Amino acid sequence: MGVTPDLSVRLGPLTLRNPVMVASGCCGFGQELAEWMPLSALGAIVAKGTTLRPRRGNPPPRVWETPAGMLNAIGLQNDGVQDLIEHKLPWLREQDVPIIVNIAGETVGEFAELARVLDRAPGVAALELNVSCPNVRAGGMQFGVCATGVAEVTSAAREATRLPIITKLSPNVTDIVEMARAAVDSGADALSLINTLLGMAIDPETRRPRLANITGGLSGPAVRPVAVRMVWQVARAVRVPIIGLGGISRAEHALEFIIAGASAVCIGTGLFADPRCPIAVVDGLRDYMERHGIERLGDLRGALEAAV
Amino acid sequence: MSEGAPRPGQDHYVAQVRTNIGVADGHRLLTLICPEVAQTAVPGQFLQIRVSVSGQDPLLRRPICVAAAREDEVDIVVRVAGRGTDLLAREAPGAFVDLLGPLGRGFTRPGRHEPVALVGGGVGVAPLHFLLTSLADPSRVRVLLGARTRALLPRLPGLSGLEGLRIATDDGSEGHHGTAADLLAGVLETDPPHRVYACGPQPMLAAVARLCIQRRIVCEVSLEERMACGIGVCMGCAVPMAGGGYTRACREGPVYDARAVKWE
Repeated sequence: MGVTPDLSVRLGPLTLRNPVMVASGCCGFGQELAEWMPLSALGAIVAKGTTLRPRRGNPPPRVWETPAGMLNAIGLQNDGVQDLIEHKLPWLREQDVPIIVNIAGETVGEFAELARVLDRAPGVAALELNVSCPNVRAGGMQFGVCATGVAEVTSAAREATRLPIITKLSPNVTDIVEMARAAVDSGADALSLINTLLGMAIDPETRRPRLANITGGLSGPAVRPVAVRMVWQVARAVRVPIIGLGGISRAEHALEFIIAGASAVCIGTGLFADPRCPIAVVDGLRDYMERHGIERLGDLRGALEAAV
Repeated sequence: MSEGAPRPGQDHYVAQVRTNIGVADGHRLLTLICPEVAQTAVPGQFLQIRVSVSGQDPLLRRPICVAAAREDEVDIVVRVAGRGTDLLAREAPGAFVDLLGPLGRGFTRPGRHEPVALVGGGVGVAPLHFLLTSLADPSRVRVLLGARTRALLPRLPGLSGLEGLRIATDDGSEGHHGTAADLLAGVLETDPPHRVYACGPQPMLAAVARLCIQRRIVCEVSLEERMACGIGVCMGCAVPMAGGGYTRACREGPVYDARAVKWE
């Protein structure tokens, strides 16, 4: 007896056709990725971190490979929100995929301004608040590593838009649950976790840092256990949907996050190794559901069998 | 180029290794069976090659320039620089490698009888070798090849017996005692070419660019920048531009007009 698996998931007010999204900063604004796979196969796309004004980004080297992972310090290079609205959203709107825009302010006021501007932009399904970028001096992670910062940014965005708000949390904290609660109490409709772990690598021969920025964000398979653990902790503490990310490139990885309590997942660094892996993840999830007789993916969320 | 449309030939391929031979200390010439890439790649383009079976560790692909293309096969030169390239260099004939490509923007083709010089440093000779072997009359081309020492000079098939080949080594173990840029300086004095194509380490490229810009000779350089995705999504391979800001080596490059790049 076969079941027809229903992969659609609810993300607060949004319904996605499947739970597999692509992560901010790992898929640009979709155009290059569309050369490899139809964006309509995705649950949603999270566009690259967008700021009020254009940013040049950090000097190279910006990336360095580490065991089962990589460090990056791109520095939020982007052409600013007006360019997004005028030149990138019109194309993206035609791709039949929900568009989530990741926004990064240097101040609380800038977050509010970005939310206000994008509230009027057609085709935006939700905003993701980047309070967790480790590679910029002003703003970025400074908001994400204390509960008051998370709360202030989330509240300011909440008041500036009716769009669903997703707060993207930094793992570089002592207690991720405290940050999650601060975001939810301030009006976040959903949470994304985790952003990158702050890291560093050095060339012993030259004694120079591998990245021009000295420190960078660690991502890839190496961080997956940390991310799964944080999703599990947060899922038990808050009632809003969670988007899990960190080292996902296969269905079995996505399943870890879903079983830990995530409603949806994002693929980030995995795209760098295989730009078509989101399709394999969706197919693998469907296979798993058929194999286990699961009709709705939502039934699997938080279904961890923990020894007591 | 329309947005979201794949570029010519650009796809995901699994290619079988036909041969794997040593061409210098720590340098292997791999011939891969991949007709689609062989027929669509242009000199200067590169492939993103997976170096681990799982694709998890090492995580990232390695960007490697196409060194030649014939009918159903492409050549690449792998310089062993770390764990990833070491794994790739060991792929035996019959093995399969997973690759994306061809990627990036290649060299501008010279005119049919236009005098050109190719300046290569170490493994940087690979894309120039592809350009050379794609020209109607390679015998007229000057190839200026440098390496740290004799044992590190890649002995590629298209270079053997080439009349226009000049060698430089940092230690003087073969050819001119100095750099390929020194050789170019000499050529520019005596018999300047119309176009210069260069690929190699950053200091060599900066010297070549300076020489050509001073003399108003068209110069294209292929840059090696640390790359993560190779397909334009991560913004990792930032190249500082003369006009300010950065472009992506994987997308707007790896070949640039030397005047467009901000040289340190």
